[in-house]
Amino acid sequence: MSLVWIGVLGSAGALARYELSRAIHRRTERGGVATMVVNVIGAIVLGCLVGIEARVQIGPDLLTAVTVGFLGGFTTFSTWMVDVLVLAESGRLGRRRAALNLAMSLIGGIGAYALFRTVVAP
Amino acid sequence: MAVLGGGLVGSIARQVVQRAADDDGFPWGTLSVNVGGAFLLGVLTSRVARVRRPELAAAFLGVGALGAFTTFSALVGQLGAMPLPKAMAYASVSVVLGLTAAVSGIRLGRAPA
Repeated sequence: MSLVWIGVLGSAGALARYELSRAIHRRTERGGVATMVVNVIGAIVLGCLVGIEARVQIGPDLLTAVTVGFLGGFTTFSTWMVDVLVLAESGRLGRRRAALNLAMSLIGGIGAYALFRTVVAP
Repeated sequence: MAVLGGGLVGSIARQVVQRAADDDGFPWGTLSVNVGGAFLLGVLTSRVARVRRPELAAAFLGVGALGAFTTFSALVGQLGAMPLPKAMAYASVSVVLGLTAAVSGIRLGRAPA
């Protein structure tokens, strides 16, 4: 898979993340929610793709393009970390909310990935 | 446009690091981009108000480049393929180093230039 394709699909993923995050921000002011939703959606899509790959051959190039390219650009780790730090410093319940965000993102992400992979390819 | 351009650069840089990394049974490449990207975003977050075009810098470097350089989906996919003890170690190391890196980046960014 050429680097150019990874880059093009990754930039599409980044734009999709930006637009979805903005849409979520308009509905809730709660910190860290947008990144968590984006990352869990990315985990769901990855679970579905890995499940589909187990049933029908998608081909390694297409799978890499979508997972490494689009999903790699769509999901993010750096913003998640900074979100958690900002939450931790936000008032009296900040540290609790930061810990909750960490746990929910990790457990939600892994759980969603495993669930959707199993549903698609039991 | 800034997000698209940043996303292009960040995704290609991520893949270059991934290919260079020698994943001998442990996802060193993903850990490197995630921890490195968290550090750089920390620096950017505390410095961005001081640059000439803060909104452009945040969109291109923060949302685009560093957002796309780091990845959550690869982390989750790798965790899902590991035996439980190893997955717990990898998840803990990622989060602890990621948070430490972001804190260090923010502190460095706050220091007077």
